[in-house]
Amino acid sequence: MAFVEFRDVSKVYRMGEVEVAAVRSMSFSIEQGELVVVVGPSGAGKTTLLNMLGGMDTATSGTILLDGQDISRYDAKQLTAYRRYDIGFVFQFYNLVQNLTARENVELASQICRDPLDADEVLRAVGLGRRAQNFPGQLSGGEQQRVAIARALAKNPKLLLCDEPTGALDYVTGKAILGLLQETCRSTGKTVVIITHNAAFTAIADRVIHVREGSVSAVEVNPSPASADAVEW
Amino acid sequence: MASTFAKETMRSIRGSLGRFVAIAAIVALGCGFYAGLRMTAPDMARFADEYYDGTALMDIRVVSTLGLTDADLEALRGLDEVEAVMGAYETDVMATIDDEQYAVRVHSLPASAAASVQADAMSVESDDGSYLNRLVLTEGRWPEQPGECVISADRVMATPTAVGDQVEIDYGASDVDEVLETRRYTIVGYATTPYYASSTQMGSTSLGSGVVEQFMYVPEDDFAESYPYTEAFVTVSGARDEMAGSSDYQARVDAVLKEIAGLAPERERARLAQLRADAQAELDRERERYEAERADAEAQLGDARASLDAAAAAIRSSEAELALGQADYGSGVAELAAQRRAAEEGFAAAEAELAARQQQLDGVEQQIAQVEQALADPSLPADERAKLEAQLAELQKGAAALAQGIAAGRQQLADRRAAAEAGFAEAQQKLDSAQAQLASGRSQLASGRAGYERGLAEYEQGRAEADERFADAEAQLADAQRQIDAIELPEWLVMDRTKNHGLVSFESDAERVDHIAQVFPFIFFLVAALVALTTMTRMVEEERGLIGTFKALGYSRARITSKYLVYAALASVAGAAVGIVVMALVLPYVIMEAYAIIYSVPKSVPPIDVPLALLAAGLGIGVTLGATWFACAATLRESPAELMRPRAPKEGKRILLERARPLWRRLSFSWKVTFRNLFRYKKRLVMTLIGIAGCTALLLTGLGLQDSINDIIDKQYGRLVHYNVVVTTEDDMGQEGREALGEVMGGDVVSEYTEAQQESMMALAPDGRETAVSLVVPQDPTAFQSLWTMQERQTGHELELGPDSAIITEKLASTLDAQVGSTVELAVPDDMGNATAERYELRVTGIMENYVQHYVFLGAGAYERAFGKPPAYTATYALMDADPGARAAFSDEVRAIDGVKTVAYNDEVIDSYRTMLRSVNMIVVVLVVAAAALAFIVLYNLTNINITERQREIATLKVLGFTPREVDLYIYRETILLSVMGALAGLALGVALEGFVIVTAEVDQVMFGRDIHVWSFVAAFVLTMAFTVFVMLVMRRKLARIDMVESLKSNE
Repeated sequence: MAFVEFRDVSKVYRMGEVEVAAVRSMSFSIEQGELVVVVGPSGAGKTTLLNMLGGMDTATSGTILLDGQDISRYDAKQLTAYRRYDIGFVFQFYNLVQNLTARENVELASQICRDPLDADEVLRAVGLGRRAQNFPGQLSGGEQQRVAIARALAKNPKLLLCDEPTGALDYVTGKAILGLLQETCRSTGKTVVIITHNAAFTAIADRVIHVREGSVSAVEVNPSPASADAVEW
Repeated sequence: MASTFAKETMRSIRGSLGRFVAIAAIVALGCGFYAGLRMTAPDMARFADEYYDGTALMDIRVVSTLGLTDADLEALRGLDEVEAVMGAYETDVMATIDDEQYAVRVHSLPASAAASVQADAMSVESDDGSYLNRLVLTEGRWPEQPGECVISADRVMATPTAVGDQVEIDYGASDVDEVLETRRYTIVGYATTPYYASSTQMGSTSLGSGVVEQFMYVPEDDFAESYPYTEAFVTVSGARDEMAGSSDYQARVDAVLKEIAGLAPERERARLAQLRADAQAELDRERERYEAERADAEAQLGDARASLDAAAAAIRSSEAELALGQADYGSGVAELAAQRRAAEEGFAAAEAELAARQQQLDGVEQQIAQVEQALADPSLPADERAKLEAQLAELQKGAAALAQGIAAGRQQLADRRAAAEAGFAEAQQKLDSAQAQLASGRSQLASGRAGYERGLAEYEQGRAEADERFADAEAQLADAQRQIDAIELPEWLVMDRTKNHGLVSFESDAERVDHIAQVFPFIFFLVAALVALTTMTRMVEEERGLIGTFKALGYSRARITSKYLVYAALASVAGAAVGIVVMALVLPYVIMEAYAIIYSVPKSVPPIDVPLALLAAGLGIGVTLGATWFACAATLRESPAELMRPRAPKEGKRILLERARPLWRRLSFSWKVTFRNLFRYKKRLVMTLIGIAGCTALLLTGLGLQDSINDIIDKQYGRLVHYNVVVTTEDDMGQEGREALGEVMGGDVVSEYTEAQQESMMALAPDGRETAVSLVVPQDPTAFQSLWTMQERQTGHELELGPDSAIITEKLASTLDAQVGSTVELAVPDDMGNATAERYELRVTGIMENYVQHYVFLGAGAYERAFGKPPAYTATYALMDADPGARAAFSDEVRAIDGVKTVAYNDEVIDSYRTMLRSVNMIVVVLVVAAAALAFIVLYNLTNINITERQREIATLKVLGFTPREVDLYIYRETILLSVMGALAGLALGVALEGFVIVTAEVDQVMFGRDIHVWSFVAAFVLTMAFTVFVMLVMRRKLARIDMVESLKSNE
């Protein structure tokens, strides 16, 4: 059985009188340890997919399974626990707490988990061992995103969800972050899902899910993904 | 300004209603409080003015020391600016109503009262223009016949009274029977009058505890016909049109005061002349009557004397007669005795002759015997015989003649004897009858003499009595004459409204409110400025991009600023308008409602004072606009390009606390981030601290005020005063009464008692102000101090009352500006409660804790030195069983004793302060509501800004899997910490604010407690926290509504 499975998932938003389906009977599956890229243009339903997978929103219909658990049937409390213990989230704009140092930002996540990784170790792993005492304001964008990745990793989640992780970064830094994510996936065996509009990222993925107008248009499995260094856009 | 720009402005209001309302609300609170409090004093003054005008309150009261006459009233009416004059009677009495004794001022009620019509709460109409100080009947009916009365409706009585209850007049300041026709009255109604505006400040009297406790109006005719008007009430033309107490009003009154002062000497002299003439005429009549009586009595006495003299003469003549008779009788007796002696001598001679003849006869007989013997001898010669025989015959013949002669002599003697005896008897009889006559004459004389003696004694007694009576009468007449000659020129006391305790007290209470009004709203304005500043800063920051866009489009800086100024102006104008209208109606009403417990001045819907409202609005709006302008200025200086870029988030910074490594390491993240956030947004920190501190301070002020007033009772009657009843007696109470009182005091219900001298005095402050004080001279200071603890307040140091000590109470000391060692002047009050001329000086040796009324405690020696006489211990202070049954029995027993004047229980005083406490409770409610509103606005605003500003952070936390509880705490930790810090600061601020309010609000005869209780601190703190928690609960919904999707969005 797949690690993540979307079965016929739909999400309908009610805008006054009008019903808008952001996601329409979407189905796909992801295996454990894969690096997955969800790609599609703006408005294709990527974010809705991410919200549902990340436990930030519920599906209108269909089933979402993660590691055998049906998260589409979770109530708010269960969803909170799910986000807390099972998901690591990396935001486009890092979303670090400005008032906390890098290390403290990592600890912010790890302190609410059951089996967290050591903050300093994780920071070293993302290459920030020496900036641990700096505030986000004192770090570059790439460094901030590394802190964000470290924060997500420290929770030791089942799934690392990344929303346009390079979106706010320059090309070089973006590539480095992509490399870090790939490296993380390889070395830790964590399932990593990257959501992006950038088709170039598909090259490094084990599995690529193409999304268009609310549904999965194609799923390709890449037997020999390229290294992040080799990707160009 | 129907431009698109204007539309945008309107939309931004609609889009951020919470923010708009927050600014409006704090401005409403600030302006409303300011306007409401500031308007209260003028409103109070306005209603007072309407009420005084509507009830024709006197402007001037004229009292004469010897009463006033109709001619005096006419003279007053004749003055230029005088509108109306009403003559009236009054007298102070002690009266018992429902078993409680009160000092009551009895007034005459004009007949016009019954026909008066109450137009509204403010006015009473009457056809009689000279019916002044009109009464408002609140219950019952007007007195219709003698012996009926109305009493104060406002006065809270120790025992509630009802229509139909009896008022028994016990005694008065002057002889009740000369002043009033009856001593027993029935309450038929209750009334209020502006003349007694305050039910706790009715004036002072020489009776009871020195203050008037109740007023009573009885029909004019119930005052004795001979009793002159005690006073005249005067209204001044045109004064009604001026605001009571204003300088214009006072100017008009002063003019008439001067006129009356000009008139007074003439009327005083006229009154003196008239009194003297009346009295002289009366005296002359008395003298005439006396003279007539005297002449009459003298005539009667003269008659009595004459008849006594006649009696004496009669006695003398009968004495002479008797003496004469006695002499006759004496000579008669002597004569008889002489005759008897002569007769006895004759008889004796005759007896002797008879005896001699008998002897002869005996000799013859013997010769016969011898012859016969010789004859018997036969031997005898016959011759012889014959011879013998012849001899014998001779002899026998001689013997017979002799015997015959003897017998005749004897017969003759017996006859003479009998004749003499008969003569003697007759004479004796005559003598005896004369003697009897003499004896009866003598006894008659004796009784005559006794009668005379009696008559004489009676006469002399009558004479002496009459002389004494005449001397007395002469003395009385002379005395009366002296009294007439000694009648002093009467003095007119001319007083305006500033001499009426109740009116002055109302005015000064209004002033107190105004003083408080000038300080309190400061907190609200300060917070309003801070709220506006932080809120508008946040708004400007949120709209950075928009501002950049406007700027890029070519809008001027002023135009853009105008959007925020318009926003702030709309919010503050709306807030100011609502706040001022609501509070200007509510606050004065609530405060007057509170004062209505004490004052008879009616309350009504207060008008809004436009200039004040504009001032308040101007202050509130100005402060808000200033803050807004300040918030815009910095941002607007940036270039459009800078503005289009999101502002670099404020950098995290290490704070001072982190230097304390060991402490910092112990803190969890949540606390670290809390502390860092606190010091990151300093404006908000200050706003919240001041807001919360203000809230706590208001709460503490309210609660502290309650403590202070509660303390008056609790400390005075719990810690200091241990007696609960005072019995006063007449100065000249007899030994019997004294013993009876001692016996009751020695009974089971009384556990302790001691005697003291107690009298009402006036203390004179250096500025000439007079303060009523009670002078107490304990007989046994040690026993007295066990019933009344004398100590210094701050040190708790016990004060010693030695023979030369003079201890005064704390509030009195501050009123008189006296310290230990300074000299204090006392004077005896007259019947009106004004100080008389003579001054008595005392050197203060101690200042003692005391909360109710003013006292001067003197040692006996100090008293004697100051007053030149020994104290008279006429008051007994006692501690007795509080059981009502025991008390009633005690009262009855004590009152029954001859010479007992008053029996007063402390409960009456306690009750009147409990009444005052009720008025304070309303103020406390106002303060608590204001505090809650302040806390709510500040905390709501802070939390609102905190949440909107940190939406992304919160959304991220949610995505990270923070539970709602953890998210709440993450944000609220700051709020809680600020609340705690603010509340602690507020407690300190509250102590200062409460101190100010207490000193400002304190009334004359009372010292409020100076301590705030621990529980009030706790309560103020806990309440503040409760408000905080309430706001947090409300804001939880907003936190819960934050969408996690926010975390995916970029910075603005």
